Amino acid sequence: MALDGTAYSPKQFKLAIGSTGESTTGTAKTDALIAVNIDSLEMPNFNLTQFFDVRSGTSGRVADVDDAFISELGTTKEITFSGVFDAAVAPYLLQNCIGAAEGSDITSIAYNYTPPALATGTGSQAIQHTTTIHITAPSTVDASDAADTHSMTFPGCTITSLSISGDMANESGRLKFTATARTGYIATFSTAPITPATAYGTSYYSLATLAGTGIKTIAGATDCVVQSFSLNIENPSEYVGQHDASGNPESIVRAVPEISATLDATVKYDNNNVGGTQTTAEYQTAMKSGTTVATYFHNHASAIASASGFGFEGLFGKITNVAYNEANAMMVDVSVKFFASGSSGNVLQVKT
Amino acid sequence: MMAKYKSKKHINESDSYKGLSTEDWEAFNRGETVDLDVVPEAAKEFLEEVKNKKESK
Repeated sequence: MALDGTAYSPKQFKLAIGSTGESTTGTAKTDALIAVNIDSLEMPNFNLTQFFDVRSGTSGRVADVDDAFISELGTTKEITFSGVFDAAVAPYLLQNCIGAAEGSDITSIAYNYTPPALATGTGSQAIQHTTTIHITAPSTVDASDAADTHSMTFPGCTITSLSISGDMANESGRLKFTATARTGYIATFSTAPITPATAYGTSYYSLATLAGTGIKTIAGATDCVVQSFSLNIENPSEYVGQHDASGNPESIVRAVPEISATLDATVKYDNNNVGGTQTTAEYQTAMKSGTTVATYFHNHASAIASASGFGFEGLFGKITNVAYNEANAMMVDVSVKFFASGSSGNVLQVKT
Repeated sequence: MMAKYKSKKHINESDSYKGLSTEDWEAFNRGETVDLDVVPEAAKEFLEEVKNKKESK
């Protein structure tokens, strides 16, 4: 066999995610994939069981290759990918991460949030349950062989971390995301590439559209001049039990100990305020006194349900960090964790 | 429009109490009848409307 001179671009590698979830939890559904507009793709972390310790009775004080034990049973794979938070793929990422179906284009973490019950083999499932991720790698070909297939399919995925960010200094404010998906189901590591049924979206959200009559209250300070933000949702998943001898889990436990939502924003240091709410210049006072601060960030003056495009609101936040940010002007970095309050309302609502 | 509902079977807490408030969810699971304006999508399979009986003469 001679040297193979063919080279491949990193951009030939693609990632697609199920747009409808899996009909049956844990069973790959590859006929309704939507491509994700990724910036970069990381090799998934396979987390295989690899037992390489020395055993008793070896010829010397060295590990014997016959004692090595490698298994995929009961392991959890993780895939991290980042890209453009386009209008087509955004609702799927959000609903799967939060584990709740959207209503009127709003995905909510309710005050009494509990995740859906997820058990292997359950039918009639949707995007808020589990989804399939397919990584397409280009087939390699040599002179004496047919095309080799190196794509990977991961059934039963749940997105455990989703970070949505926008920065006016980056791609003109176009929103980006970073997501981490997990699965405890047995993956296919060498399959033929699948062409996603749907291409990635060409409609984008931008920080620039959050202007005009929109509401930009960040951590209780009204009319903020927002340079950048990052909305972070963490919803852990644990794959537990033994559904079959292949090593697939029986159940998926989500949101233990909690689903959490936080916001990191960079706003201009100033004195804008309405109705006595604190200014950005006094975030530190609100943090010190433990004031509950609301965040509204959408393009309607008051109601997120009436907003269009991307937006979010969390009414019961506590400031977790404040820092000066010496940029072209003095900016303030503020971080907020969102909470539930009482017996109504939501921790967080995100409009897409 | 407000109507009276009762549960057909036990409603588990998954899916954010099926979109019900926790007070209503507890009431349904105690077998009580609850007034609802809108039945959340996830709760539909668990609830049935209570029709008013016609008064017998």
